[in-house]
Amino acid sequence: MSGVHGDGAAGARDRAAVPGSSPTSVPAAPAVTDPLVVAPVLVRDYRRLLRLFPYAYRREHEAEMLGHLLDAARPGQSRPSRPERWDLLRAAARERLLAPLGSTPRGRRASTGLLLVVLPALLVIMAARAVAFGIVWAGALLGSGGGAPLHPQSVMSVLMWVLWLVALAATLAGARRLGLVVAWAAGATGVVTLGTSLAAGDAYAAYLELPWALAVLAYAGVLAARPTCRVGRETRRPALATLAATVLALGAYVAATFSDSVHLGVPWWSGVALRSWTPQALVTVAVLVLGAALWGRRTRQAVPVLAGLAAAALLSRSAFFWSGRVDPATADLGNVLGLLGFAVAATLVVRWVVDRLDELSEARAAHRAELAAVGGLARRDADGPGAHPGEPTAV
Amino acid sequence: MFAGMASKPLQEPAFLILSALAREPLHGYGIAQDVESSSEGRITLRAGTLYGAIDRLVAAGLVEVDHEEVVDSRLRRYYRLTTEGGGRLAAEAERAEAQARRALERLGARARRGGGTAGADVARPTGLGAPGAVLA
Repeated sequence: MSGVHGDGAAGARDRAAVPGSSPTSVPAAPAVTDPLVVAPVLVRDYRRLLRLFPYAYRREHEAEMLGHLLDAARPGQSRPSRPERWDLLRAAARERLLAPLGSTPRGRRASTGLLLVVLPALLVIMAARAVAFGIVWAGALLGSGGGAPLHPQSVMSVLMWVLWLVALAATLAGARRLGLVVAWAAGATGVVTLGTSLAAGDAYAAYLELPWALAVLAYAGVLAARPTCRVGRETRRPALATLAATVLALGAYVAATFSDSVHLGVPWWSGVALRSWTPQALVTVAVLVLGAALWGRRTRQAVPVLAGLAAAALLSRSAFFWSGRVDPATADLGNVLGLLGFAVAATLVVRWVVDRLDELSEARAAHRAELAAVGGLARRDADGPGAHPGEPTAV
Repeated sequence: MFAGMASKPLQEPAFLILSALAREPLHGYGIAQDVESSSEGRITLRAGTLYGAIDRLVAAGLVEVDHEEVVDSRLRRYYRLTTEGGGRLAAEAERAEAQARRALERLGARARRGGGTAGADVARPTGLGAPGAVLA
């Protein structure tokens, strides 16, 4: 093991880069870097590449990464090499993709942990409804009377939910890779469903389906991101928590819609049974739950993704894009893209808010630590000889 | 969920980063150089990849920031192993060593049966301290 700081090639390069300087550590004593050795254009290019990273990441690492890149530069190098560019572009793309889940691996670990419990609990309700509908439809089709053939997009939608259930079951059983592959397949089926609806001229169906396709894709993304933000062992606890949450959510949904479904004479999975749940009531619940989650440092990490999905789900049930009442006949691709835009914007805005809240929490923690340190010193001084009036001193 | 990952070993870059920090705290560039030399040039950790891996190790509690200093107007943040990181590295190294020993014993037995000279070459007990080669 060699080549550590100040020794071997690194030290030689340091000495070559800055003649007369020594890599000995002198805190807060910056020397002027020789512009003839480090080309300004190289610094500029590195800075440009580093600007591709999200703000929160740059705040944490930009200075040390720039120092690292300049330390590693060959003598006389004037431009970043192709492998360096590729590495930084890839890392920046990864950070950008993972940014909605958190600006640090610690945040991402918290958000993915929570989302892998919360998302299945929400999605299992829609999945159960879709599968129940599919079973009833298949029974009618195979029965003596026959049934009306379904639209291709309806078949695709049921298929998406079946695949998602398989992915969930595989993940809960410990077959994470299989679960991930099937989850992506479910997400792709959701996208195909949207495309099929749009191609068939049923843009309103795509408009209603978009939040769920996004949620299935989000689940697959969270499942894929989980290993990238953790090192070490994973216990069985998340699986048990997910299982308990899905059972509870499904039970609560059936219980909440049971009286309406009996009263109206419709099955529990029918949308008619949801009539008493007004959009205003759903918005209130969503705002209260997400607002409460913002208070917790760990729970707030999952809020951006949930807020984006909630915005899409609630807007798709509202007349936001219409004046007055929803008119399915006037729905078009613009409505679908608008809904998608709102969901993405909500995620990014809430992520920004969460990052600022994190910074505030860190600043407060640092301030408290400083106060504690000063208080400790003051207490030590106060406990010293002669600190209390009237006490004898050494003099 | 994730039951299959419970005994998942560290990935080689993470192992080599922990190994680089085992002797003394190092800054990012020092870690990259150590990883390159200890992997005999097979693994080059560039800045983008390195700081992502360090972030994950910090989040996992295996590595922490030791101190910062400015040298030639460049910030250097030094990282060190935590107690947990040291324990994890030791466990991984022991596991890798046991695997290497087992492989070498089998190759030795194969060579004794006349399975070829290659086995005899690698059956020497040298190289047991290079767990990275086994993890590759």
